[in-house]
Formats: sequence, C-alpha cells, structure tokens
Amino acid sequence: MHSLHVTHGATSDVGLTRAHNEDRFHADPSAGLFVVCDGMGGHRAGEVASSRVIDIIPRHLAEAGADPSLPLIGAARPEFSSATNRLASAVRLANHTVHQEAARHAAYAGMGTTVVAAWLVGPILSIAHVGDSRLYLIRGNTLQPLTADHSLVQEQVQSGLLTAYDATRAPHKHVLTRAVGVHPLVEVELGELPVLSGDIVLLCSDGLTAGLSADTILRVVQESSDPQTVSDRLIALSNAAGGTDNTTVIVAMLRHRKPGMWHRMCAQLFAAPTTASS
Amino acid sequence: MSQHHPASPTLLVKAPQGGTRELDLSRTPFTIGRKPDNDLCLEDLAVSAHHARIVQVQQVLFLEDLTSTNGTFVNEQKIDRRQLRDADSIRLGRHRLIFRDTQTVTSASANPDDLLVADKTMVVSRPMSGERLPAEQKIGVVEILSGKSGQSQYRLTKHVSLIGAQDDAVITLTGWFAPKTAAMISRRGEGYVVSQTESGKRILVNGRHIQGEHALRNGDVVEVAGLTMRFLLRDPKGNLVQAS
Repeated sequence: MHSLHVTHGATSDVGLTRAHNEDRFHADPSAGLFVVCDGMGGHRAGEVASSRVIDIIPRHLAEAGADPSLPLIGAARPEFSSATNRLASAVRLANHTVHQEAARHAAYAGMGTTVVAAWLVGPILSIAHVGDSRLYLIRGNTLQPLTADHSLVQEQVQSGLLTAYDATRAPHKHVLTRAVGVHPLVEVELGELPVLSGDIVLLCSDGLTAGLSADTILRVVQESSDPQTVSDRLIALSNAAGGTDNTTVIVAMLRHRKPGMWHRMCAQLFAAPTTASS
Repeated sequence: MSQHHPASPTLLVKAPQGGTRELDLSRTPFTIGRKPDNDLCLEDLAVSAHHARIVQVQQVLFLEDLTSTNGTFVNEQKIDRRQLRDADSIRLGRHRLIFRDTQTVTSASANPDDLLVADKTMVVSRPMSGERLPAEQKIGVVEILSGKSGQSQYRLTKHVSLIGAQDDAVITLTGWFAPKTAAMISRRGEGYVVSQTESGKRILVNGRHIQGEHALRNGDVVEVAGLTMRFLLRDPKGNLVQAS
C-alpha cells in the first residue's frame, strides 16, 4: 500500500504505419503499479508476448500480497527492498512463461517483449526494466531518465563509441541487448527511488522517444495538471512526428493524499466559527 | 524445430589424437555428445552422452551446455550458454572445436544496413552476466553521533535505507515517540541523497534545513528526529574516501 494519492493517464496507439499495436500497458493507481511492454515477433507473436507479461506481473504481485511466503523467482538481491525483489520476481516469471510458450508453438518462436514496471510501495518507487521502454521522473523543472535502454546503441554510448545525438539516428537503434521471453533466463535491471509529493512518473515505449525530444515531453507534461490530457497529447504529437511505431505512454502524478492531522485540526479550528455563524 | 542458417558457419573438430574434420552448421539445433544420436558424436569418455548443443536465435548462434558432467568451455571459460563468434575455441572433454563464421562477418561489414532492417526490433541478447553491483562502487556509512538508535554504525548497502522505527528501517530509531519513517538515504548514481518522507520531519544537513532531497557529501552531519549522524563514503575495501 502506498501513502500518496496517485492520478494517472494512459494512452496507447498503433501509430500511422504499423498494422498492429504490439504495445500493452497496465495501470492500477490504487495498487501503485504501472507497466508498459513493447512486444516483438512475427505475425502477432509480439502481442502475445506483451499481453502475457502484462497479465503475469500484476497477478504475481497480488498473489505475493495475499501470501507473503510465495517463493521469489530468481535470487533475491539484498541491496533492494522486498517489494523491488518481488517486482523482479514477477518479471522473471513472465520471462519464463513467454519463453516456454515460444518453445511450444512454432508460430511464436523468438517472440519477446520489453518491459518497464514501476511499483509504488510506501514512499518508495520500485523500478524494473528490460529492453528499451523507458521510465522518466519529472521533478520540478527537470525530466530525468531513470532507466538506461538495453540496446546496442546505448551500450555504444556508454562505452563512448557513439554520441547521444548519433544514437538517435543510428540505423541499428532497434537492436536490443535484452528482452523478456527470448532466453530461458533474463537479467532484470532494478532501481529504487524515494518519491516526493509533486513528482510525476512517465513510462513509455520507444515510439514516444523516437519522435519527441526530452524538452517537448517536459513541456507537454507541464502544460496540464490532468494526466490523461498529457498522455493523449503526447501520443498526438508522436503521431504528428511520423508515427512510425506503436506508442504507449503512462503518466502518473503523485501527491500527498491529504494534509496531515495537525493541519486538518488547525483547519477545523479556524473553520469552525465561520460554519457556526452561517 | 530446425532452422536453416543462410551463410552456414562451420565447426572445425580437433580430436585429441590429432585428427581434424570440418562440419557444416547448416541446421540447428545441432547436438554434440558421446551417444551416436548426436549431430556430432565425440568418442571421448570425458564427454557426456548429450553434452551440448548449438541453437539459433534470429541470426545468432548460441552454444548451450546440457548440464554435462565435465562442462563446456568457450575460450577456456566455462559456460552455460554463450553466443558464438568467429574463431571461438570450444572445449568438451578432450576435444577441441573451432567455430568459424567468416560469411556473416564479411557480409556484415560490407553492408550493415541489409542486416539491420531499420524499423524491426530485434534482440542480440547475451546470456546472463549476473545481476550484481559493480564492485568498484563506493559504500556510504553512517555513524551515529547522538540519539537513540539500534547500532552505532550502519553500512548503507541497500538502494534505499529508511531511518525510522518501522520494522524494515535500516537505521532504527528506538525512542518512545520515534516516527515510523523519519527520512530516507538512497543511492543516486555514484553517491547518496537524503530525502524527506511523508512524516514531514525536519532534516538538517550541517545545521541547515533542507527541503525535499539533498545530495550528501563525505563528512556531512545529518540531524533528524533527535538523531545526529555523520555520513561517510568508503571505497569497496572499507577505506575512507579522500576528498579530492
């Protein structure tokens, strides 16, 4: 259970050139869980992969909520909280399921998906990701990426072979170095962040960042306080910029649930005379 | 299901007694072992009945160990699963195999855009390299100078360390009216930041009141909920980091 009030907007669009939308998302503000998956694979296998992951992650977290002794899939990492380890476990379970299904059905061979998941537990945001779907934090006047793509170009940027600018134009920018479902085991990258009231978390598939710069995203997020307006507007701009890929965006705004008890008592004390006189 | 590999790579098989032969890897999966039902049968008691196999994922070939008794080695490293590259040296038992894949190397360098169809996402993922902290990362340490806390020193090995009376707090507050969550210290890149929680407890860093979050430097003194502590950065060996 998280302590902040979460409002969210989520939009997913096939774009202008693709036949199918292989992106899937899950957004549950009361559970504080947000997930975006961008599937890949022949025919409609990409949709199968992303749909499976979107089903399994919330289910595994809910099962663990009901039974805390539910075994973790994969090794627990002591530097992360139990919530973050549980989220990693959910991604590993999803990887296993997708990989098994791909092995059983010839039409699904080689299918896979990216995943970026954010789970707010108490004041801490647990983050898990595999592939090139991203999570950004908008705090104050800055947009900070909280995930680094698992892609060939990102690795080349990190090792200094490529500049960040060239990376956006590289012909091999769609080559991932990790994905869910492709191998029997997956390495899930994890993160944790204490959130503050006023923070905005944005999850997206690579369709958004292909067409829009970080500055544009930041400006659109700041233009409206309604998260659904923001996500719809971002998709519209992404399509206006070419819409060559499926695009999915989730925008979650975090605020204090209500003023503290002291503030409420003060407010009531000072409000009382006015109510009495009216 | 078996797949056809267009520019077929080869395996050069070197027997311990000196013989050499070359095999086409035109069809995958390609199995290797002591039993005759393998694609490559090695008469070697140190090789398991079904020792290893080569599988293809998209354009890439992987060597997988099938939980063999004596292991599979690529370039003298024991592997479970490993992407094969031209000139890799594979060892199983007393046999040595050389993987040759000149075709794809030359065609890739000649015309990279043909291989990398720009809009289709593909994966060249490699096997798990282990989910570990980089070993060279600095570790934050908190020394309690005054106030009621469970220990006098804490190593901040967790990504987020909670300060409070709550069960899962790292830095524990033991006073009677201690707040459940007073503050948090979390890793951010190479360093650490201290941040406020919903409790709204005042946090002082070196005597100055902070809002939201604040990056910690070596030697900073943090005060919150009656606890005064000193933050120190240590290198992985436990030595104090010298200010540069």
